[in-house]
Amino acid sequence: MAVKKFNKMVNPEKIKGDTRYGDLYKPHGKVRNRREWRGVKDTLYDYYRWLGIMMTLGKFVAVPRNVKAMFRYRWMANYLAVPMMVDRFTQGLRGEYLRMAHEEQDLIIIDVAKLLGNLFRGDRRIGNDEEFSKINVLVDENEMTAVMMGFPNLKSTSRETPSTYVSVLLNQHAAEHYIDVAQEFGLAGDVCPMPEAEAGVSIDDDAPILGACAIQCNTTCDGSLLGNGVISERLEKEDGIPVFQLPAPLRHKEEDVQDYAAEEIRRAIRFIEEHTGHKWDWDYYFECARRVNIATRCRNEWLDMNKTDYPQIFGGNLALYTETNYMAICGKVPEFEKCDKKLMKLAEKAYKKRKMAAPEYRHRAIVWGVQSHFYMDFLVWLLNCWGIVPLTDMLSCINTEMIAETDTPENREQAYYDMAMLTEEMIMRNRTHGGYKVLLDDLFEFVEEFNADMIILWEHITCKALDGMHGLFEDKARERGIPLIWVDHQLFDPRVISRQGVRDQVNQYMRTVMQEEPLDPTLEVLDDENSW
Amino acid sequence: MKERIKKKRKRRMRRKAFRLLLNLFLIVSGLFVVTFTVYFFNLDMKLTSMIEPFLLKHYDRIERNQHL
Repeated sequence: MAVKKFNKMVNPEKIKGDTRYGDLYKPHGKVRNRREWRGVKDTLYDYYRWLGIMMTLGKFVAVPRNVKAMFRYRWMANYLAVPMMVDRFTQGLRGEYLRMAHEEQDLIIIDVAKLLGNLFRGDRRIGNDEEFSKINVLVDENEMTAVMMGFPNLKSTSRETPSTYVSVLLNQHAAEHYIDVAQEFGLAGDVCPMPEAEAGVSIDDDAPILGACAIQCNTTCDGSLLGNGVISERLEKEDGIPVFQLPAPLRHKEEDVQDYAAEEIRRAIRFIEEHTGHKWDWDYYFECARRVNIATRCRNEWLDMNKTDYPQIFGGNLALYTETNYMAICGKVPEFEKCDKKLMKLAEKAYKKRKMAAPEYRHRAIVWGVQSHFYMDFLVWLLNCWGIVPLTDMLSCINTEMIAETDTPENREQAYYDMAMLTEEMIMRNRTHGGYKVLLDDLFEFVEEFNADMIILWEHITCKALDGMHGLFEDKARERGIPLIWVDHQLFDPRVISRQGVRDQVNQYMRTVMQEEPLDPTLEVLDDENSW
Repeated sequence: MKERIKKKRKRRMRRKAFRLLLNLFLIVSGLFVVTFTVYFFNLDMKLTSMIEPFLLKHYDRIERNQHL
């Protein structure tokens, strides 16, 4: 079978400023020598947004209890690296792409700062605001927060998101201590390090204590059940915080499980009402549902644009924002609706001008599998180093359907099924569960739809869901003549496979199989093992 | 005489306004130069990266209720 090829596209516009991004790295350094020069206009823009980030961080540390929390919780040290995270995700970006990245990232930073502020305000160890604590519902990090869409006066608060998920984005080494603690206490080392790290935070007595109740879920996988068991034991028996287990069906594509799924949503809502004293508000629910639909429409349009020769919102700009907006926000925060519309405007503007984000587009790739969380800016690296455009990734291939957004008696009944569907279509889970169709067949349908000529397949080596399908992926790729690059990693733990180890898998394939030279050779090998 | 006094006052006010604007310009320019230098040479991250090891040692000393 002939290998599918894509005719490379050369950017008619010269990229202003630095083009050898590897030169910004200090050998074995934690941080970079300097920030990127992007030409006068874009550098001044990036500087202006950096000032905004500094103000957000400044407002955060101006609150004494947040400083107290900084000295109590080990994972808070990772927030020293916030501006560097933005630098990593904006590497090589100019014009509209830089503006899109900042719109998203700066909003996410503000939202996480609010989350932290809420956590520490209600935390018994820090702010100890009991009345405030009573309006908090703890949701686990993999929880699709759809069940909170009808509670306007409650806060859906995740402890795991800032302590492990965001921390690892900021600092590749953030989870190592907690993984080690979990293993010291007898948890297996060959499980997914995400729930293991979350369990480690709990075991290490390093989680804030607050909330009227908690909702845990069996998403994304059975690994979560491991972590949730450890966490809920402490929450209920020691902290006196009751926990509800929201089990989403594994065979989520089957019709015969949907009634059960909707009933579990009803039970979860009743549980929250019982333990908080707050009643479900349909007006607020349908307002959130409208925002969910706006986000879905925008995402669908961005993906449609990515199917053309001029993709606009892709790679890191698509992946990180989608995860946050879809799962954690789920229509509850109006600022994200404004951000969706701004991104749409920027994307349309760039699309009309036939803009490109790199000097050359040599390959169009679908990125599949569970991403290496400690190296999510790998998507930016693919583009800058090898000219591989990551058109979409598995975690951005989520719900594309509209949910009911008008308040009618029929829609109120339909709402439970919609919330159940959103929970089942949780990122990652909607592919790792539900059968081979959603994990294997859909990948190759996306390859056709997006006119991709390459697959980058993340292989999280402790993810049993994906590892079992390894041979099937290879067979199908061979049948269709699609180059498939396996990229092994250990999600939260760079000690197993480092960032350079991740890059080397692509470097070796591109040199030996594809017989290509890098677009930016300075990025091929980087001494960033010690880096944040 | 009155005209002369009026003119003198106007001149004084213009000089004051000019000095105020000049001072403002110098302060803003100075702030810009300092902050842009911090931004471009990544001095903020270089500083915070030096703080991290001290924080980590501090966390190691905190007493914890560790258990499954």
